[in-house]
Amino acid sequence: MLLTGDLLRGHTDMILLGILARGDSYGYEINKQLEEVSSGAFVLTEATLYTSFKRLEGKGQVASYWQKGTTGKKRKYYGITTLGKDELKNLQNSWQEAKKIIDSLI
Amino acid sequence: MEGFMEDRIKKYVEYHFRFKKGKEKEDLVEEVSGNLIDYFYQKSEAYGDEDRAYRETIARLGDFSDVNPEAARQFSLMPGIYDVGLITAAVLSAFGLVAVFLHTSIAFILTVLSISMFVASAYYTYHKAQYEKNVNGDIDTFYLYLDKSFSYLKTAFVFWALTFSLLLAGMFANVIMFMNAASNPFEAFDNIGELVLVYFFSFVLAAIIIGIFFYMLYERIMAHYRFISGKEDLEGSFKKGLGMVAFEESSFIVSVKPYAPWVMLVFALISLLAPLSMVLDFGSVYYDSIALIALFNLMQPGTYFIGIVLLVAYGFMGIALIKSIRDEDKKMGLVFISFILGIAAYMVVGLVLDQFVEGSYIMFTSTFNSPFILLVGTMLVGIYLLAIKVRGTKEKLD
Repeated sequence: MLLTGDLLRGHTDMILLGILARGDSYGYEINKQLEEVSSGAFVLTEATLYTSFKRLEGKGQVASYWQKGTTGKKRKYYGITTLGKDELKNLQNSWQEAKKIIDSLI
Repeated sequence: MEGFMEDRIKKYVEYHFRFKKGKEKEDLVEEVSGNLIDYFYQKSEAYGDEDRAYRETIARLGDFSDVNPEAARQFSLMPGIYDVGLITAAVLSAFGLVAVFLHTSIAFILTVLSISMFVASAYYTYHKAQYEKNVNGDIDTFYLYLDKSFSYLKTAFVFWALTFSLLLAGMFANVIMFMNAASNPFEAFDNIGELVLVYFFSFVLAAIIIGIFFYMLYERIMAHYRFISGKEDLEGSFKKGLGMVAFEESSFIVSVKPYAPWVMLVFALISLLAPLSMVLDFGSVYYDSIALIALFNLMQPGTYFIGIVLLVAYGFMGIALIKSIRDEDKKMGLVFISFILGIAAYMVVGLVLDQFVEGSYIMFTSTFNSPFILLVGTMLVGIYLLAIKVRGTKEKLD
């Protein structure tokens, strides 16, 4: 399971863009989704999450804003931009190609 | 309990990002602590154990060294003998000041020892810094050593300056007494009041001379620091030390904040209504009254110049209190200074009346007197200001 986590960690930006493509969200909610989907195998620390968002925001692929979260408290939300959606498509295509190659090799 | 844990998590995050400033820090702390607080509740509900949930929440923070390199760098050097030298020098400088009141020779030896240790340790770290930059080309380590060599400077300078001022004041006082041609200095003046005056003015004179000297030296050294480091200012070790305990404090001080100026106003009013006995030799008039009435009694020919001192002090106190009550920022530092000036005004009035207005003096017949009440108030506001500083919210309040 540790290997799965490490493999996924190399694709953090793609995973975050994928989650945000389904709707705007904030750090805790994103991590909760990751934890549930991966059955606890893949969890990001606040540091990883923050630096990834910072990087994506710098590239103009996500945009942030403050809003009340599901708990009723102010949280920083992130949403995917058009640039982010284009990048996500590129990353998904690269992933499918890589997956095909790896599947044929193993 | 929930609020307490939220506060605890937020303070942990605030401490983690203590090197960040302004809006960037505010947003970073708000975002990260918000996520962690939500995570804490999730875990707390799952485990039914807040301590375990807290530990896991804190572990979730991760490695922020990319966005917070200063925190990662702060303890990246192994402590060396020069650290011991600098800290010991700073501690000895404080002991030197205390020793002035016990034995002047011991005070002098301790202070000289403190200066020697400081200079040796600072010289070592300074050269180590230059070596790291010039030979190894390591700028990060250069800054670490450089900051070390300058970090205790302010603390040590304050103690050295005070010690030397007191020692020099003693010398001045002896010279003045010698000029009064006395074989026994304590017989040079008629009473203890005159002796106190001599020491007081000697200290003021010495503090001005020593203060100017040390201030100029400090500024010169800091100008050199700014020149070679390219940084505007250096956070002193004392301030850093306060920063370390900042996140442990409760929010008590914040809840007390709105009432603080009102409490001080009560102290100021009580000090005006406190009993004050005064003898003014204008037809041997004796007043046994309260401070406010004594203040008006002083406003007559012959003593009005003294009355004005007290009036100005109370006027300043009033302005400081009004400013503090009206301002959202609560200027408690100003209130603190105004109370000290109030005490000083009472001392000056007492001494000048005794020395320069024949047959006139103030009698503090009760412990419950005006300067004492102002002193208690000053101590309270001093503790309050220190608590704010320790809690690390000073920049938000001032």
